[in-house]
Amino acid sequence: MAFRAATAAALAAALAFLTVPIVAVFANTSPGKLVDSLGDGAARDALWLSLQTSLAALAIIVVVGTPAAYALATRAFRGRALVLTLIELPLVLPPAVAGIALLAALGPKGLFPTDALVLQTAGVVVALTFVAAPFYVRQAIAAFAAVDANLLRASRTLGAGEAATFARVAIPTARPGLAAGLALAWGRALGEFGATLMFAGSFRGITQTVPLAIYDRFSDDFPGALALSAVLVCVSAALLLTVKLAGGDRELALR
Amino acid sequence: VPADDAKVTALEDLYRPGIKLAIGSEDVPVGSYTREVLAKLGAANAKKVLANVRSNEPDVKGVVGKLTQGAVDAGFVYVTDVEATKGALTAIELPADISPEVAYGVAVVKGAKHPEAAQKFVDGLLDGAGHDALEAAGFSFP
Repeated sequence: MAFRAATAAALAAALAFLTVPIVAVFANTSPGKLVDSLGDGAARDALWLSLQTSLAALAIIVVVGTPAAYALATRAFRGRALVLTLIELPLVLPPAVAGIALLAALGPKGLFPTDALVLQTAGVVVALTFVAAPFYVRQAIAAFAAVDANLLRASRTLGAGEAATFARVAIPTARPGLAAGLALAWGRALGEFGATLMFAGSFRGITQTVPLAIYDRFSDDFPGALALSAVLVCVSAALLLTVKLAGGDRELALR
Repeated sequence: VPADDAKVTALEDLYRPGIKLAIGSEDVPVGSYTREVLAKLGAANAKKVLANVRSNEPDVKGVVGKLTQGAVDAGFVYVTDVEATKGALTAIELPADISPEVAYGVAVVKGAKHPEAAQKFVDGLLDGAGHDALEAAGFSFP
């Protein structure tokens, strides 16, 4: 009884701490302000750019990340632990480190020098992909690893090739986990700030995503920054919920 | 401008299409000084310069970083920032009539707990070791 009360209290504390700042964003923003902020051209450009760049990053992450995660989940090889660690490393990197690292790798004076990414929309996509990919790949590895190996073997004995087994058995079975990873990666991409600023800069319509636009308003237009933040919260929440529902996430259902 | 491989050697080069610029965002000090300078060049010239801007950075460090990494060809920063890069950047002198006056003040706060120590610090900045350090960093004195 005492334990149950303690866990309930911990849940209440966690819920309050995590939701109060979000409630404050909306408490200080009237619905009218919210709509006004959408009427602002720079805000709309930022929202549109955020949507485009995060979707592009997500497409790259899914197309490359899904088979890569499948390989890591189903094959044992030497150095697998090292590969896993390297892939997950961006998860724990501070954004400033990610930004510096991208400049050092793909900047005009980087290891692979190029002018095609820095200060360009493509650079934003690269930054988002770099920081968000591990969220998806990590979850996808767990999801594929949880697929019953007997299912995959059965599919192979019934005559399906490896590719068909991957596409028609592994992916549908792992779908809830893949969707959860997708939602996390999308959320991370939408919120990316530091690496984008350092690598891609900040210019309306080209590289200024919503978080950068919010920071731009922070000093002289706090209400505007709040309103745009509220929009980002709504969009992120809607995306998270949609992806989770589409993936048939069982955690959402009451048990 | 970057010290090596400078595509911009004079203020007029900034009018050329294709030159890449980073400046401070409108609502930070370095950005508003920049726009002050541009306004003095005349509306047509200011427009040409602003058309070359590729990034509006939220602080002057961002502009300096973009310059030292070679992401842009030129940027507007404080002369003290150029000194601080120890040769990575070269300053292009602005004509005196368009240079903004960027002044920093120092004073002892009224009701300070240690007014004498504070006054000593201020004196040291205006005359003595602090004066020399500031001068070495590129500041000038009225």
